[in-house]
Amino acid sequence: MAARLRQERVRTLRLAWRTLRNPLSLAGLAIIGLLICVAALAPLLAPYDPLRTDIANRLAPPSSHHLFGTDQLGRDVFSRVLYGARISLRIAILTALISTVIGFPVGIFSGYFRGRVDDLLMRVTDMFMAFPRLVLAMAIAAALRPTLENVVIAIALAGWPTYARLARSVTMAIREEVYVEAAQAVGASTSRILLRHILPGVVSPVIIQVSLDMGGIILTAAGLGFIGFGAQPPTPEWGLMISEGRNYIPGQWWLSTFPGLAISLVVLGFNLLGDGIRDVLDPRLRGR
Amino acid sequence: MNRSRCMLVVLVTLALLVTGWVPNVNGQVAKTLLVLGRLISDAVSLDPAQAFEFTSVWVDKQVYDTLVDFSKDFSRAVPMLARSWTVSPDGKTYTFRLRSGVKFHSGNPVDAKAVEFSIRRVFRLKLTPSFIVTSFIDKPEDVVAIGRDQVQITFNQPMPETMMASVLANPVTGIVDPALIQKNATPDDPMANKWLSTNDAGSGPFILRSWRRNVRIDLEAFPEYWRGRPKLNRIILLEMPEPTTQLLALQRGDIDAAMSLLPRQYRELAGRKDIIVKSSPTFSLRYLAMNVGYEPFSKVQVRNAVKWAIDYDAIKRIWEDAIDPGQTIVPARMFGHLPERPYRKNVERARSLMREAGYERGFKAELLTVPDPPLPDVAAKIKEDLAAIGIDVEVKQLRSADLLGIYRAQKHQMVIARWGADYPDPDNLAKAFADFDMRQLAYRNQWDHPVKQLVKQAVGELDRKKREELYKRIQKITLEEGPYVVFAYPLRQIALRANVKGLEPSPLYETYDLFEVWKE
Amino acid sequence: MGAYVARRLLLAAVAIFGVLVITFFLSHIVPGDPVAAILGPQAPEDVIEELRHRWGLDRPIPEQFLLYLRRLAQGDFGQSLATHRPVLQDLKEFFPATVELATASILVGVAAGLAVGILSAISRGSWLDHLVRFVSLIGLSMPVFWLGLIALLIFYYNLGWLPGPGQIDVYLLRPPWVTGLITVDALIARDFEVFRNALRHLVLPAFVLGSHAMVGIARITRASMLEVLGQEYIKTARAKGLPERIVILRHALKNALLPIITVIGIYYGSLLEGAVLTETVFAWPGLGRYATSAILSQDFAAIMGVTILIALIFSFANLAVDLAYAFLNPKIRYE
Repeated sequence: MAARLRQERVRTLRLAWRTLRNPLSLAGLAIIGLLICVAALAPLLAPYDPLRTDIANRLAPPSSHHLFGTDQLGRDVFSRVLYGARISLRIAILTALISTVIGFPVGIFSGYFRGRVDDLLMRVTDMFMAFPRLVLAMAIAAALRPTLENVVIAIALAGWPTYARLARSVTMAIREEVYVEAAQAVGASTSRILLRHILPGVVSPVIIQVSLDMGGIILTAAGLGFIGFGAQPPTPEWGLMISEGRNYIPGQWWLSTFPGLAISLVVLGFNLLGDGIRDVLDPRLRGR
Repeated sequence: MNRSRCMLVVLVTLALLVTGWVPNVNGQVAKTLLVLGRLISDAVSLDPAQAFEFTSVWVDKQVYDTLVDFSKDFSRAVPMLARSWTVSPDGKTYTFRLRSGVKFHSGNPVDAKAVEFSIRRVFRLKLTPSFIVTSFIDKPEDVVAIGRDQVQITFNQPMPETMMASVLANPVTGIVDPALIQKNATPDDPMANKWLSTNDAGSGPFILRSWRRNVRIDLEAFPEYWRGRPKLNRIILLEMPEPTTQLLALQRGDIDAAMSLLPRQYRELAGRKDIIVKSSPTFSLRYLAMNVGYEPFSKVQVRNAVKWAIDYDAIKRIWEDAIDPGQTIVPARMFGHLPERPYRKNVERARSLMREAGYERGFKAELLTVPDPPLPDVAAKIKEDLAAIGIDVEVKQLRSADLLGIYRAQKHQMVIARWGADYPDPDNLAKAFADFDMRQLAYRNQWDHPVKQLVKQAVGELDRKKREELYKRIQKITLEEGPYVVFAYPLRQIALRANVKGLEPSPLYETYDLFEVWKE
Repeated sequence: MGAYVARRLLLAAVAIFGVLVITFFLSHIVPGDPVAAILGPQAPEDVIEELRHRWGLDRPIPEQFLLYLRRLAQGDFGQSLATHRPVLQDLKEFFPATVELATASILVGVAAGLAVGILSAISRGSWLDHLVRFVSLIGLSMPVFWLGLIALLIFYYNLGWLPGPGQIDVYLLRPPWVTGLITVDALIARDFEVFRNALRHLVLPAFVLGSHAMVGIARITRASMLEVLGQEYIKTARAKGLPERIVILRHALKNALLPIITVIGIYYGSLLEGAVLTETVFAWPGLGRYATSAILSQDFAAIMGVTILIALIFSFANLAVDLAYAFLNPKIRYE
């Protein structure tokens, strides 16, 4: 048992090491690091209050005073983009957390007990997967009223089946392994087996899957903000900022360009890292 | 070598894919065709007895003739299908003499029977806009054809001339061709409402050719129109929900006019040589409402503190100055408007009012609005302004279905919304904002004030001077005690290619009629 | 095989019914007032009440659901509150536009994705391979709606190479309705000007919408080509002196096709997702726009109709992928 955990840890470390040797995934990690720093330090870094309006100075083009210009209410776009990092990061982390919290138990129970339980739970995931994620999230967000918390709930509700499926297949594999059968034979309780043997094995593949999906979550949240089912004004959420700014294209391009670049950069960060992980996991895909 | 050949094949394929359709610049619309970019998906039905949305009312104004029309300044009625009219001494009964020789698009004659049929049909169908007729005419039998060319209409109250026109120039009383209606009637739809929703039975300058929902509406000139043949042959209304797409299409010359741009975009276009921006006042207003049923707003001091806390100049700037300033419920340029603007941003005064009401420590309030620019920006600004007097506002941007559901159920705390006049008379606004019994805005905001008696009295006052005085008193009371902050009468703007002539925005139905429009 | 298909269809039916229940209750518990929204803020109360009654919206929700099911069983999808037309008729009108866009997008995605994938597989490890990989990752990272806005700005507004939003230029008349697909209808009517025009209108939205599929297909193509290229029979073919082009296209690609097809199926389904955003930006009169506006105006019957249609497409796309898989690879069996 301990040997297996150690083995698992070594494997994870090796995976991390191999991932980091790749310059592209290193770049991805750097971008994510930057995102976290910016989110944490936004109040220190931002030259202005992101909500402070300055009507006399609205729609000012980028300059040394306002690096990214000002928006339709004279708010500093640079400061808003920085604060937006907090929101995107929060959405991404919370969504990942909630969808795995739902997906884990469903997948593990399904895979461990099989039979009726499995059938029932898998039919439920089928139902959720019979739908494109954004459309489902739209419907849920609309039913819940648009707030940031509800965006998280909507995307999580639309996204958990992926993790349930993954957790299920990993559980089924582990269940067949010798040490689990041994534990069952010596009469270990089911909850003990699930917690001590199955769960640790399920965690790392799911976490990897989550990190691969992080970019997608941010894009979905931005999409919801863009069509008006997401964050509320005056929140500096990137999707909402693009949506507000698109009415000022082409004259005041900076309103929607900078938040668009910010989303692209952050998602690129997650994608680069995810790509690196995938490379290590699936050597066929490797470049060299 | 082979490998690079293979790469070449791939590259060429890619190149072909991308460049297979290279330039072929268009960008000029033919001279006798007018293409308008706007939002048309609001239209539910083009049956004049049902049309109540911006697009459908405006289209029906081109397709159907009415008995009378408003003069361009909306101060009196002018003849249309009715050549002339007389009024009984009590101001209730109007007798119209019809123009002769007028034909429907079908070739059938427009006669007194058709007028009687059309207005009675509104009663029979009883659809959304029917209240414009049924509030002033009690029953269908009060509309009577006399012979071939006279119609007598008896109203339920004395009607000043402009009130009469409010009913009879409204497209809801557009004259439809009875023969076509009968031909397309079915047992469960004897008034052929379903058919007329997408078809034409009018006598106006343009014929409705086709309507692809949410895509386009095609109109064609009616060559035998009684005022003469329209100068344009065809008009196309194109669904362009995104203001930016409209802007790009207009600049590239793919459309002749853009009708739903944002204030900033109009302002930027105004500097261009090939494009003209025209504007007109409107009979509509944007307001903030406070629900008197929400404890803090039951105090008139708190309501007035809000009025003193808002930065009206900033809101004007947000609108790019494209508004008529004013704070009363009857828009500027409408008959009876009270040009008083007592409120301006004065935080000290607002704070002392809050103290007086016992709310010096402030309170929380939810502010609802729809994602209809620039209203969300205004909401963000007002949130900031009210924070200065201790009101902690949470802005919620809702679908209009949600907002109206909450608003009608009186469950809101604050709302930012719009109101547009259904007819160009102060009665419409006074009823909505000040008469609790009408179950409109005063009711929704739970403001039941004796001022409603004045509203009921004013509508039937035949003496123009006295009537004006009454409306001014109503406005004054609402301004000083009411639960509304009126912050703008936005201007109506349209942007045209410079070669389009005669297309003018109107305060009421978006534009004056298209009969005279032509292109250079 | 037949039994397998039957079982899958049954499961799909169960899933769709579940979706139906969820959507119905989800859309009805919201305290909004769709009738008031459709009639506008100025409609009098009694008119609103009257219409609510006529639509049966004043009854308890479970009763409304049963009523809906009964009608549905008779093939009646109900009437849209917003358009006052049978939902089925609306769907018939808006669906073809989405099919046309999605098909064009997947064609772009497959053509470009295969080309790029093969290219980077045969030049593995070179600067070209890295460049392609990096560029495609960037493409994958951009929000579609933002990409659409930027593409319109550059290719339509600034360069004028391509036409703007919409399906055809406004001064052209749509060919008579046969299939609903403008390009096909134009060919049937032998109206080549409209055909050309409609194709040009398809280019931008198809590239924008197809971009994510393109990246996905390119990656999987590269991966499975690499795997196949390492196999013995390819080495044999090369040793026989066959031209590289033939080795790549005939021997390698054919065998690499299996995983590629899976990915294509998955992307075709998920195009619907992108369609919601792309259709908004390009004023495309399709299902995505219809769904958005239905949700926005809480138009119950329309929401349900779109839901059923989307769930159907999605389920069938998944089934088709699995069947294609079985067809191409006889080793896979179904109980």
